[in-house]
Amino acid sequence: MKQFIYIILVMMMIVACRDADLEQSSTALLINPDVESHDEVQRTISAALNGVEVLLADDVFTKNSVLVVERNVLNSIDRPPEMGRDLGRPSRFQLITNGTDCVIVDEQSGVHWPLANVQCAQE
Amino acid sequence: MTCYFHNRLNHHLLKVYVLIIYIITLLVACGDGGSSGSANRNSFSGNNLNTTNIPSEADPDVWVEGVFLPASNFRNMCASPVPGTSDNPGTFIDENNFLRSHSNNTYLWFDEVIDRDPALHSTPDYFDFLKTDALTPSGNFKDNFHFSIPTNEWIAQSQSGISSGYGMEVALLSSSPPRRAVVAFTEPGTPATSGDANLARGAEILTIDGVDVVFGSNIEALNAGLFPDSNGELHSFTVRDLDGSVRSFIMTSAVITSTPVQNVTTIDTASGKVGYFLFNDHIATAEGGLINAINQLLAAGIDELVLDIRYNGGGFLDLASELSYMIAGAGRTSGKIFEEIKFNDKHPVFNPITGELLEPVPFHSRSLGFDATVPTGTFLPSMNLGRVYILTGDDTCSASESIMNSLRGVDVEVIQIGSTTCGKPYGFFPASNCGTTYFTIQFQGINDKGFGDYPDGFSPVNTVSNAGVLLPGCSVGDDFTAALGDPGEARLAAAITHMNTGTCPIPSGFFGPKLLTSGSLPADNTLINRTLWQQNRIIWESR
Repeated sequence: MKQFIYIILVMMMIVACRDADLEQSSTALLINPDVESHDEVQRTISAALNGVEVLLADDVFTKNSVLVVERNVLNSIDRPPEMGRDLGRPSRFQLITNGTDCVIVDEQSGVHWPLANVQCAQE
Repeated sequence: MTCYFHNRLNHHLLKVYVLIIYIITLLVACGDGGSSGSANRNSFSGNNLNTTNIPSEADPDVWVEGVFLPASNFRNMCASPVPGTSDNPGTFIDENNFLRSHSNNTYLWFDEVIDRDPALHSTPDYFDFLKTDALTPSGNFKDNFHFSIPTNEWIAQSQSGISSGYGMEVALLSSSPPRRAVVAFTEPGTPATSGDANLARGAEILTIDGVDVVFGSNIEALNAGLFPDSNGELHSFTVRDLDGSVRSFIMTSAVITSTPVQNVTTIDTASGKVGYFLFNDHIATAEGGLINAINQLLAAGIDELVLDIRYNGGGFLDLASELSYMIAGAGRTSGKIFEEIKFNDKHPVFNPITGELLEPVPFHSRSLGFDATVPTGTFLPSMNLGRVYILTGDDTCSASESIMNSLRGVDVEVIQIGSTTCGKPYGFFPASNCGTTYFTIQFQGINDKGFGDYPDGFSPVNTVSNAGVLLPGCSVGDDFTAALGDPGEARLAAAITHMNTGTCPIPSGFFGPKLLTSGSLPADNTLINRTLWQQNRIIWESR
C-alpha cells in the first residue's frame, strides 16, 4: 500500500511541475519554416498518432497554432464512400512555446512532444 | 491564453487523478480472485466483446450452427501475421470466426445472415456472405455498403482539407462499364485548373495513363492515376470538353487544399433574395465555412435558402447537426433530436463498439471545435427557416441525407430538387483484424419523429422511376454545362422557378457530353450535341 502512495505522490509532483511549466506557455506559430522543420512536425504528429502516415500542408503551424487531423478520404473508382456517417471527432494538436522551446500538445490528452529543430514565436 | 492553458491543464490534472483512482480500483478488483474462463465472458456485456449462446466448453475449432464465441477470442489470430504488429499466429478459420462472431454481435441485420461453416470459405468470400440478401421496396439490395480495405489505407490521416491530388472532383456517373467520369468541380489555383489541363466542370475523362476509363478493366491503373498517393506524380489524361473537343495532357499531383463550402451567393428573384451555397464534404474545415456562409447570407437578408449537397457523400454527423441547427434555429430544434442512433436489438442501451450509453445526437447550437479557426463552444448563427430547398444527386449520401431527414423531423419543409439520394440511413464502426478493415452496417439513424427508413433514398415527387421516399420538389438532372451556383444551372434554376410558381420543369436526367457507345475515342473532334440523357443512378461517387 505504501508503494501505491509513493507512486501517486510522485505522479502528482510530475503533473504539478508540468502544469507550472506549461502554464507559462502560449500558443505559437513556426517561424522560418523549411523542409526540415516541416518534416519534424510531420514525424511528431505521426508518432502522436501511433505511427500512421500523415499528410500535412506545407504551411502547417504557420498561420494557425491549431492543427486538425482527420482520417483520409479514401478514393476509389470501384467502391462506395467508406464512411458517410462518422460519429467521431478529429484529432486536434496545438503548437505552444514558453519563449524557448516549441512543443506540440494533443489537446485531448494533454500529452506533449517537444520539437528539437524548429523555431517558433508566440502567436 | 494563459487562462485557457490553466483551465485545460487543470482539466488534465483532474483526469490523471481520476485515472489513478481507477487504476487502484482495478487493482483492488484484481485482488478479488482473478477468475477466468467462460464464466467471465458475459461480464463484457455492453461492448463488442459481448456475445450470446456461449457454451462454457465450446471448441473454437468446431463450427456449431447458431453458436457464437466472443469475437475477442479470435481477434488478431492471423493466417499471415505481420511481425512487429499485434498479429498472432492463427489460421484463416480464426479470421473467419472473428468476422462471424463480430457480425453476429453487431451487424444491424444479423438475424438475416445465413450461418455458414467458416472452414469452407476464404476470408474475403466469407465476409461477403456476412450480409443480408434482402431487397428494398424498389428491388435494390438493402445492404449496398459491405466492403473491406487494407488497414494501412484506412488509418492514414491528413490535415483536414489536405490531400494529394489535382484539385478536381470527379463524379462517376456509372461505376461499371460503360463508365462515365465527369469533372464535377475544380479547386482554383491547382494543377486541374492551370497549365495544359485547364479543366472545367463537365469535362469527361476518357483515358488515364492510356487506360480506357469507359470500358477498361485495369481498375488499379485508373485508381492510381485518378487518385495519386503522393505529390509529384505525373499522369496522362485524355478528356473531352463540353464543346466536344478531345485533348490530352499530363498533370502532376500536388498537395491540395479543398474548400468544402463554396460559391456562397445571393440571387435576387421575383420572390425575394435567395441564398445559395455549395457544401461538398462533412470534413472538419467545413465547420468554419458553414458558419461563415450562414453569417454572410444572414447579413444579406435572404428570404429563401438553396443548399447544394449534390456531391456531398457525408462525413462527421455532428457537422450535419450544426448545419441543420443553423438552418432551422433554436425555436424549432430546442429539445429535439437531430438523430437517434439505433443498433440491432441486442444493443438497445449501449453502443456495442464503444460501450457508451446510447444517447441521441441533438441539434448542436454551439460549435464542437472541428475547425481550427472556430473556438469550441462558439454560438452558432441561425436563419430560423421553415423551408429549405436542397439540391441533391445520387452522391448525396449518409450524413447529407441526415440533414434532410432531421430537418423534416422538426417540421422544416424540405423541397428536393435534383435526383434520388443514395439511400444510406446507416453507419458503421469499421473493425480491423489481421491487416484488413471491415465495414459492416451496424446502426441506423432516426429523426425526431422516429423515421429513418429511406434505403432507396429520397426522391423528388415527380421522379419517373426507382423512386425512394418522395419529397416535394422536382426531378432535374445534373447540368454540367453551367457552373455550380449559376442561376442558369438547371437544378438551381428549377429551385428558383419552384419558389416563384410552384411548378417543375419536365423530369430530366443528365445534361452533358453524349454517352460513349464504344471504347474507342471519336476519330475526329466532332461537336457532340448536348442531349438530354436518361435519368442516371450514380451508384457512388469516386471520392
